[in-house]
Amino acid sequence: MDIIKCYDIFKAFGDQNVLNGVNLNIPKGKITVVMGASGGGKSVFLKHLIGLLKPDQGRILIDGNDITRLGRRELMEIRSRFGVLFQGGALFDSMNVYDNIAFPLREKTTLSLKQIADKVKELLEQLKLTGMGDKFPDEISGGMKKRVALARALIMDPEIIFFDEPVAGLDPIMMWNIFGLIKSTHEQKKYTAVIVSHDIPHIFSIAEYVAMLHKGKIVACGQPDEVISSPLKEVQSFINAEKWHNNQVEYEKN
Amino acid sequence: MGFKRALKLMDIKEKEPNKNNKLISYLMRFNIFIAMGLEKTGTMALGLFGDVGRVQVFLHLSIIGIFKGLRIRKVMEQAYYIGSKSTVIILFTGLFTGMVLGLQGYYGLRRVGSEGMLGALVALSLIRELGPVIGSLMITGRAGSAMAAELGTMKITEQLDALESMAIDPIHFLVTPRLVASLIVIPLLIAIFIVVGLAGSYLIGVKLLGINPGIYIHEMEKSIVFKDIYHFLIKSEIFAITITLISSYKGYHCGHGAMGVGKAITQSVVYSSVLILIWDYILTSMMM
Repeated sequence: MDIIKCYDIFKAFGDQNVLNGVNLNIPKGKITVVMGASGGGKSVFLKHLIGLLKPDQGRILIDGNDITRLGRRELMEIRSRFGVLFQGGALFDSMNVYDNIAFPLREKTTLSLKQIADKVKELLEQLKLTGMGDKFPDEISGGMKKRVALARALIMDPEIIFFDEPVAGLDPIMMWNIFGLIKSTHEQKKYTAVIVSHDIPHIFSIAEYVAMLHKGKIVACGQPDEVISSPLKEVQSFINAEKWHNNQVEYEKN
Repeated sequence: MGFKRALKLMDIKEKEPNKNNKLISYLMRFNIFIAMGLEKTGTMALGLFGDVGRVQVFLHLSIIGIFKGLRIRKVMEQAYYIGSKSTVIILFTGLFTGMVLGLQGYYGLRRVGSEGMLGALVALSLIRELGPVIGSLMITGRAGSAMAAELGTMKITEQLDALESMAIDPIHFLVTPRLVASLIVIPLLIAIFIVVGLAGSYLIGVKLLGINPGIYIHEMEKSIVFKDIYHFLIKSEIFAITITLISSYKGYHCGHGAMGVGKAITQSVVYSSVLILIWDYILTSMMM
């Protein structure tokens, strides 16, 4: 069953067309990866799914609700079912790690301070952040920031979590660490994950459904194997870019 | 549209002037020049009206936020930040404004033999005009720029988007507490400015220039009526709204990167300062 359905989404900024008719259905309870080259409109597409941007044309249905036509209050209600991990973490720099993670609970629930503290402590342990609660975002590494942002996205037990380049700028160890955390938390909580990434081929290790965004359109989508074996030139040149580059370097050396 | 592009579109070749229709060519260039001027004026007017409309919506949402549930803790934090941290600069500027006013006032009044009126002159100037205006300009530089910088940085680091994605209204969460704090704190800061200014002028007039202290205080008391205090309160509140609204709006809608934040800060200070002076004229003429 599809939880998110996108029909013909168009978006332009000035003269520049970023999305040129995106059609995509995102299955419920699975990890869906939207891949594509940098600057190809992936983050813009993600912002449309969260309702931060409105398309010039097209519809986005989340559980049957067209978020492009909702009023502000209804949109806020839908958003309370989301969690978002932004590319840079988007942690509140005036708050420490503990307050950042506890923030959605304090604002959106009536839990007691004790209950909030227990939930935050549990997540800190699960994401290997024990003892980091007092640190401020500018005192921790990029990998830790992503983990804190993941904790903040998970704390409300959302139905859908959007990940914008969750491993961009991280070293390989931290990258696998974050992928592992996404996979383990997904198995545990069964949320729908929508990941926007260009980390090929690593991202296939956790993907259950893959869509390729190229020049503002979805050119291929399906199970990871189906997309990998797609005959389309755009898909192959993107997936095999690293292999192609290595062959080129080898050829030039010889 | 560029001038050369306009010529190209109208199929006028710059390097091949035709002697026979030179006049027509000049007339067409003149027309294009006028059209471009009109286009630029129109774009500017649209931008200005658009901005005015958006600022109004911003104010409307901030005020609605007060009734949606006010975060008292956030208001206290902002009151501390805007108020306590601006006190030193207000004390200094207030003191020296009062002292200069004392010197200049004495110099002017002595010419007509009315040095005794110095207290009244200084009090009226400070309460009705200089206190609200100079105090607000100082607060714009100190607290307004900080507001624009903080919200601008939050915008470019996606913290505002993060709030939206958590179903928290950023205007309600960030701007409303600042607005309420400003409405409370800015009149108090301006009152401090006025009191310190009066003390400064007393120091110069009485202690340095030898005006009789009794006459100084008596003239001051006699000249001030409730209308002047009312004047000061209205101006202070309007200036408080102007500073908070413009600074928050510019930060909230800042452009990309560090340059965008820098531009937002500059614009917030410039626009707030200019608007304070325009408002000052309008309010003074309305309340005379």
